[in-house]
Amino acid sequence: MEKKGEEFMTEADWEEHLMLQIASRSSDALEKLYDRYERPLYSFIYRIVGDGMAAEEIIQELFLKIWNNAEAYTSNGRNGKVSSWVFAMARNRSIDWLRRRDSRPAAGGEIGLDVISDPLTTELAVENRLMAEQMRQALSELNVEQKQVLEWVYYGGYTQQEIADHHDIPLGTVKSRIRLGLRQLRKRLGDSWREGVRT
Amino acid sequence: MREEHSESDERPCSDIELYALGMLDGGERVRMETHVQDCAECRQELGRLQELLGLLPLAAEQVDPPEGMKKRVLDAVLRGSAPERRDSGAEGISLASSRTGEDDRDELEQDDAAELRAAKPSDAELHAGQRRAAEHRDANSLEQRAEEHRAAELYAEERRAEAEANRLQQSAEEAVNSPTSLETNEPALQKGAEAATATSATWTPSPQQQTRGWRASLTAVLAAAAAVMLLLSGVLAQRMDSLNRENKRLAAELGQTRLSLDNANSELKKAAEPFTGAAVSQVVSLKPVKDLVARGQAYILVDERGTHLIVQASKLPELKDEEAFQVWLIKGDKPVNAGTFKPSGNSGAVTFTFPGGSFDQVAITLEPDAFGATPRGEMVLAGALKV
Repeated sequence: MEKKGEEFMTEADWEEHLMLQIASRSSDALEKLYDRYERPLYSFIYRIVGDGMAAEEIIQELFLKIWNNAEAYTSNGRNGKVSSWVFAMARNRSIDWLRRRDSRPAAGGEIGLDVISDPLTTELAVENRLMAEQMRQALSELNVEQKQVLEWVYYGGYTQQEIADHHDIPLGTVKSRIRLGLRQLRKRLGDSWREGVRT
Repeated sequence: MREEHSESDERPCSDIELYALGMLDGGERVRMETHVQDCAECRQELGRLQELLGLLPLAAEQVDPPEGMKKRVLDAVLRGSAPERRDSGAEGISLASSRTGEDDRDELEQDDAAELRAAKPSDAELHAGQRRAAEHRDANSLEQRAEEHRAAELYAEERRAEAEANRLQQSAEEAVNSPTSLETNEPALQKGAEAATATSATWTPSPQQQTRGWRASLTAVLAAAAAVMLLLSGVLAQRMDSLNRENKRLAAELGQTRLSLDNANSELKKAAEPFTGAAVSQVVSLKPVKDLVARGQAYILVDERGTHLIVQASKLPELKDEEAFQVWLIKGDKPVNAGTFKPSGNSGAVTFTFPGGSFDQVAITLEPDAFGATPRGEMVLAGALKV
């Protein structure tokens, strides 16, 4: 793990700084960002597509995009976190891949948002690791139905209507499960993590 | 865009979670985008949800990335896009020769806008006009895109096979290289043998025997390498098979896309045919909403192609700058865009064809521009439709 300079207050600041360097074509910075995200990104993408080769291809596309578009990202003056941007791109591409293959996991499959017991790796930044632990805890406290609907939406890329049709659940119920699930996650995670993550 | 509004009658605020997950589309999304600009509470909530969703991926079960991925990825990225050719086919679309560099940039920008929105959609970056232009472009390049899609997939497959082949070749080379290390050890073996000869009088191996000894091992290793190669070529053959299958599948997919394009074209042709015995089912006179002098009429015609609305109006107020009049078909409180127009003199008209359905009202509004998906301006003329 790359040791970061002391001048950066938070992980997010450091990542912003890396993005600026990447925008000015620093391959070193790209490598640092890669090292930082390789494992969490691969795990996340693999979790969606369930295919190692596809996951690697998507990661390659992502880093190509980061390399070529860092300038647009940084010059946009936005303060969205780098991690949100990267993971959102990863999810979009992974779900596109699933849709293209039409190989989304059969509905009614296992609930992947269940508590996961594998030890979190040291590659994850300390505060991310803390966050991941809290997130897993919060997920484990959702009720089965909310968890299931979020699973289909978040990892399967299903639309509300598809879920309603496949599972014979009224559309309104699908919506309210999504809403309640996310609201509850927010509540469980509370404001403490926000303070912890952001300064 | 003519969007059907959802049956949901709730206030937009309650859809903020769905919006954050990218689950709203068409009219709902536009409505929410507009709403978020005005509602500080929703903007704040959206920020929190985005942060939450940005962290959710961390909770996924950790998996070891494949060995050597870092080198492969970074090599490909850095090799594939030297600074001087940043706009080229690094995204895997260089095979689509019909595209210009400018198109690529457009697409990058479009993708980027969408993804940046996912990360932070509260930014007012999508103007209705831009969106319309993008949609228009999308429709026009459907066929081209089908080709590109196929090219990009084939390219990806090719790269996959290439990576596989490289890996296999490497293993093969390693296997073949092992005997070399035996040869380099030969002098040491000989030395050992000589030492043995010097110290032991009971058994002295002849030079031929020594040579036979290591030759035998070399032969065994080469045989093993040959077996490995044979096995690898089998694997490659299988891979070729699966690539061929994939190719067929993509060809079929392209066929399907062409078919739907043909359908769309024949629909278009039909739309260009003249009315034949169209039945005028309603004539509605449009009354001014305020103390305006404007007048208008709406006709509903029905023929085998669908239902057509013809609206004409006169003595309309003057327009300024980008302003335009927009016609709406309204059911309850849900307006459907039936087109915009700019009058000549003070008169104007518009026609709109739709599959049918019942509406209670037809109205004309004065809009700040011609590209709105929902009414933003004041109503000028309105008339009741018989359901």
